[in-house]
Amino acid sequence: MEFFSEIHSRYFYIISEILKVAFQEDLSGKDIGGIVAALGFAETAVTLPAKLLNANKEGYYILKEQSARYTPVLKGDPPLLLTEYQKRWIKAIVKDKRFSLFADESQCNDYERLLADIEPLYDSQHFINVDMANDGDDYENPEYRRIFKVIMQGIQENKIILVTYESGKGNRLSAYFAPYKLEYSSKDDKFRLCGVRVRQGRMRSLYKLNLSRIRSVEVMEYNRPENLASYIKRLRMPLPVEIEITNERNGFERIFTQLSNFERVSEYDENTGKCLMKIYYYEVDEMELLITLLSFGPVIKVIGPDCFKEQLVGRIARQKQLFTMTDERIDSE
Amino acid sequence: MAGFTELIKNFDKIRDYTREFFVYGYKCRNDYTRKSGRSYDNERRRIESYLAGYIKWETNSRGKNLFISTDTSDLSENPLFSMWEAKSFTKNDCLLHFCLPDILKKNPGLTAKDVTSILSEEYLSCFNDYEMLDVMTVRNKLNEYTMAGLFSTQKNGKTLHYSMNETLFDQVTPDAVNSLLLAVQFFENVVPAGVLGYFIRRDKGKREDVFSFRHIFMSHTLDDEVVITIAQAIAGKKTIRFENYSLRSKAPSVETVLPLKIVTNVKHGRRFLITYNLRQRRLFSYRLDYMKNLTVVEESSMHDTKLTDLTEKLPFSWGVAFGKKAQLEQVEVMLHIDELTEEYVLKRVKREGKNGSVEKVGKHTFLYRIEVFDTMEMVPWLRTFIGRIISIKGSNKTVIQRFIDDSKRMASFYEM
Repeated sequence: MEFFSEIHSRYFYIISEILKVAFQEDLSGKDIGGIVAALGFAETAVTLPAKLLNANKEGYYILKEQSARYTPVLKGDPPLLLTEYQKRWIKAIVKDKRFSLFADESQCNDYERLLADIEPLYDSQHFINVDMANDGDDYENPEYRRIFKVIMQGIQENKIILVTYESGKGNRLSAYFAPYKLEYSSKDDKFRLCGVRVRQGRMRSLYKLNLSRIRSVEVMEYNRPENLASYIKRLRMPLPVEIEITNERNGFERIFTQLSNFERVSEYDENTGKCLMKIYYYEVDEMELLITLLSFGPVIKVIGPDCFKEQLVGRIARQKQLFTMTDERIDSE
Repeated sequence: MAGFTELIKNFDKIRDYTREFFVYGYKCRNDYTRKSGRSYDNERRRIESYLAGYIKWETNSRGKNLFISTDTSDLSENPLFSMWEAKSFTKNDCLLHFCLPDILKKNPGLTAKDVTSILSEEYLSCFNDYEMLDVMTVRNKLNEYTMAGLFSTQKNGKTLHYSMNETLFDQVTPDAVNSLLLAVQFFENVVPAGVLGYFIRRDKGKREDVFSFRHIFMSHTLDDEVVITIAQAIAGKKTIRFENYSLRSKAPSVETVLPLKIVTNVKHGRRFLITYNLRQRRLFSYRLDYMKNLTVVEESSMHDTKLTDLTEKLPFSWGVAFGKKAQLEQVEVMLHIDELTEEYVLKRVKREGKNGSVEKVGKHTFLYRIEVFDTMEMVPWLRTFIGRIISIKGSNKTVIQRFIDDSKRMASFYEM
């Protein structure tokens, strides 16, 4: 079997969902068209409904018609099918040390036992990450796992959490947070709690807290504010960072790949051979964006906004000054 | 655009276009020169269809440029997984996909002939215009699904009897299923072949929104089939052959190599295969996204020796460059860091500086030293300390001088 298989086709998934609904009550052509439109690709509704209604002898013959209502030819709901590849993939993740963040010991044992005869799809030893920090989170620490699970529960149950956090300097902060998501960074191999601090029932700025620095966490009985997601969206910086990119040293490919994490808009200027890119970001990610842009060297130039540009220019000016001082010292020696 | 179909037979057809839309986002129709304009129009229309909601476009003097713009920290699942859901199929494929499990679930242990009769009598007899299927067609699909792991067979004399395989989810508690599905949402975005996990969650109807991701490169999913084939070749200590479509050469080259490790640069987003190149007799790395038509060739007796060689060299490689230990390059960077107010910078040097050493040599002054195969590979990281570098020295004078010249050029951009 190939990876790219019709077994996983979106069309089969849609048909499966239609069959499940059609077992509850017979469907009209319009009902079927509605499900296809909701679950399909943009153009799926052009062709699939006609095939399901067996129009023009080109149908799939999965639904039978009686008085313009459709019912399945099957005897029961379509079962969930797990391919060998999928079982092997599950086996690979069950062996991953991060799996214990999600499952307790007995669940881990159950999966190990049920998948005992299955070969993992890949062996993690055959993979290496480079340019990765060397202080990833300690996933095997029971306290870390407990904190992870409590935060996950807070998000799933839509509750406020009380967090005690220890900063890099050893200062402790206890505060209420509306947990938004658990953010994972592959580069740092760390989880961060992405959430909004709540004081006296009002939302106060976005935080990203390293899970490894959270000392305690408790789920409260209050619900998260309903407008949490839209509040966070509003915190996006009003002006994008604008940069000009040259294709020197394969700059386009390098920069576009690395910045594919960010929402961005780009335009190529045929006259100058340069690309203009607007990068949208949140204030909490500003420092990281700044040093990422510095890492590209003279292949990019920051155009604006002024407040961001000033920070970058300040760094470059300071560097120029340091090199000048070093040159002068060498000259005087 | 007569004859346009939304689904496709071959994944490679859209692999390159999707990457270009996703990664670059500024190219117009005329920039795609490898294939015809007609081909571009069809692929663009398909990708627009698969990624509706994520695709944006702008019109400028050069024409319409299509791009996929996403902030990965806002997404819980990879929109590019949709590309793997676009495989075309025949009407018989569809009929059998749904009817065979339905028949075998109620009647385990049937032969292909039995299945064909039940299909005709109980499923298709209600249609006047359906052409009945022959046993061979049914048997082929039964065998295909057995190979895919969905069915199992038992031989009775010369005849195969088919049954549905029990699903993993029927054998564990609902809590254990929920734990697994939550784990799947995380892992599908961070481990190879994550799309397989996405299919599980999709089919179970689980769309929870607990995780978000920084520093993940969604276009990696486009190379998943290549990655898994290579991982299996490494496990089997086998050589592979592939066509390498490097940007540097006009025509693809055919390479036969012994694969050793798959490398992801988690900062830059590039992925490589480190190999022992049989022709050049040395370690060599290739970009995964440049590989096409990959096949596994044969077992190699050299695997263990070459892997040991690589393992000894890995600590001295910043990325994917390897050489002889006698050719290691020395780098020394003096940094200005106020350890009281800027301890986080010192920590960053230690956490990201690999096996380099950090030593305090004066007030707010730290010396970072390292030996690497290729100084050039660490230049982007060194640049992140711009504004703090008191001096930089190294045995590769060309790269060090270029670093200094680049800093001056950067200053000149802002009229300093």
